[in-house]
Amino acid sequence: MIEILIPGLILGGFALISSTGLFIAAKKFYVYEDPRIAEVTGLLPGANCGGCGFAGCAAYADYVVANNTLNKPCPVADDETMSQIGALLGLAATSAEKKVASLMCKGTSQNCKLVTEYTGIEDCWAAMLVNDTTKACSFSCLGLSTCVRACAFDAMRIEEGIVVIDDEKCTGCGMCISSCPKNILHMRPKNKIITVTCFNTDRGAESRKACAVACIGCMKCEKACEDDAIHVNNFLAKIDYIKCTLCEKCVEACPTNAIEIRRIMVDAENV
Amino acid sequence: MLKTFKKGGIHPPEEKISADQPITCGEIPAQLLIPVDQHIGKPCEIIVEKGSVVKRGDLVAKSTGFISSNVHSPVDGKVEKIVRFPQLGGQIRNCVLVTPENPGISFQEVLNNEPENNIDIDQMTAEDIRKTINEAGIVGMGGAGFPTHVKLSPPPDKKIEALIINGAECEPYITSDHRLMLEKSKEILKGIAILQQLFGGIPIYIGIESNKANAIEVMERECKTYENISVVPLQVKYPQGGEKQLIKAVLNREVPSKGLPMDVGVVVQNVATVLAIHDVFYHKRPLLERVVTISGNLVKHPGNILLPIGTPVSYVINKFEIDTEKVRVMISGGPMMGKTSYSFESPITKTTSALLFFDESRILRRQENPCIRCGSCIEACPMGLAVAQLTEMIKANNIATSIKDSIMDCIECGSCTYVCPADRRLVHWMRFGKLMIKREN
Repeated sequence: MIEILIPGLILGGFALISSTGLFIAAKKFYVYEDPRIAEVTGLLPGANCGGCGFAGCAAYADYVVANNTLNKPCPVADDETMSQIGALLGLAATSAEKKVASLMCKGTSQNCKLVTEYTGIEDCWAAMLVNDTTKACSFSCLGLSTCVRACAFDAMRIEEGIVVIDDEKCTGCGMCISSCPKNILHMRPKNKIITVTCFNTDRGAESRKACAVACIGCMKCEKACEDDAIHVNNFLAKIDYIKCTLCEKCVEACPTNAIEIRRIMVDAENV
Repeated sequence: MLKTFKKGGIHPPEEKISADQPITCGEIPAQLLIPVDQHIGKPCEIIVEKGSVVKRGDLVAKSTGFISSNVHSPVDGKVEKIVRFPQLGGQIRNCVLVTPENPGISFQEVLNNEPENNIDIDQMTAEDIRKTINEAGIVGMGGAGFPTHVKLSPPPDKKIEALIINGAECEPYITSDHRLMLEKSKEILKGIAILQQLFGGIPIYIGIESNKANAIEVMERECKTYENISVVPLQVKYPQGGEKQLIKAVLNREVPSKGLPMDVGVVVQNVATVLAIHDVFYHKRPLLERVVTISGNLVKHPGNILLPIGTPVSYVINKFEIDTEKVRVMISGGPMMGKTSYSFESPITKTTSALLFFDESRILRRQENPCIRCGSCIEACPMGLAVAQLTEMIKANNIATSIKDSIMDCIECGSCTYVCPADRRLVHWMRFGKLMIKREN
């Protein structure tokens, strides 16, 4: 009996001393943390994408609670989540204008011919070490999935040699923008569905030679636009999304199909 | 026992098939595409515009900082336009398109018309020499293109004790430096004498690999008339032409990690660079042309040719009767460190030491396999890096701070990829890792 009792008492004694020590430490070094931070973090999407400019969702929640402001809304969260956070903190909910990433290139394998055979590492930056381009157009999307890997929301995929963005899944966090060595991804408001799908600033003849759907800087869109929203600068059309009213006149006017309407794809099964 | 560096190194087939071909001169091509940025450092500023008339030796683009280099026009002609064009390295950069006044005339004739200057080396000060070299736009012609005047201006706290002239030419196929040493040995020695004057009579070593026995002989004979200049025959081993490896081989000094040769009191200059320095002082012409080796299994008559900077590759293709249909790989530089290019209109630059043309039979298309942990790459690495481990970390995008310096030490010689039995793109991963680290900063 005593053989069990003695080790039991020794261990019990250790446990008592340690727990007392831990209890004192917990009281002495206690740091008050606003419980709302944890709650806000729980409500946020939790992808830690960094689209808000903070290190992650917890850092963003910390900022929101500490400054008691929602002036920098989470670009990813939907309106409902933002109003829940607003209700929790007693603030009026604000929401960012929903933005999505958009590729300024339509240089698919049919439109833009491959000029080199790249067999190195599957990464756009690695390919750029060898050659500035693998396609006839030096501005085109290389299609080696660097942005696909950067996307935390599974919104991008490679199709026919260029990246395709799923507007529904894209949350507008902007992680792909900085990952692109060609700088051909940009953000546009989600509801402004007209986009120029070219980034070629070469002269018209040269861009036309390189790619079948290049913007040749012919200015037809500029003349067709009634809202002064599209301008050709440096042989490349650019849409001013504040002025654009989605009249689609530029799309009709474009002779090379370099302006695209991004209709939301609806799965045939779900209709 | 011949001298060499200790760590790593490989011995690829030498293939110096153009070694017996004397340097020839071509004609001035119908159009020249002078690249504006041919060096490492700040980009140049173009000072000509469409329609400007340029003379041979006129400035086309001006350097914009200390680590930058001037670019001159090698012909009399007219600037047609300024275009963005793919370079031999694959980068798309600004080029100045020049139409020569009298295309088709032999380049030899142009060279013969240039007066020879007699100069007194002893009268020149170090500052004068540096300034002249800077204005002439001379860059390291071995391949890297680092502005020469920067290398020749060490900070005052670094004392230069020795100068090494790089005649190793360790890359397979390339023979341009070899031919220069045979045919222009007097001029090279005169150029070396200028550098000796600049550094105040320090000992000078000319490192030449032993597979160029005739070059060693010629250079040794010429050296006798000069004091303190000697030829060091080296064992044949790649990458002996690398600055750090050459210093280790010749002087047994090791350049520290992240360091420069001047940290161990040494300056290394390529043979072709020294010849360019000679031309600046004795012919008063800036860097306007270079010797290019044309070789590869598609070239029936490989050779060495003196070409003005900006000559398009298509000129070489016509001259050497290369079947463009069969060309599958075109490499500028050697097969180990050279760069591939896709446009036959790309111009040659100050750093193009060779143009190699290969057909389908010389391409290996193998898939990258998993590492078998054989350690061959670590044995072959001349910098003593644990390449296999480093690339695993780069691949996992998990570069620890402690290994960043080792990755940046990589000289991109490609020995690891050459020996890898699993066909891993080791040097490409290392370059990718270097880029990732640069992007983080």
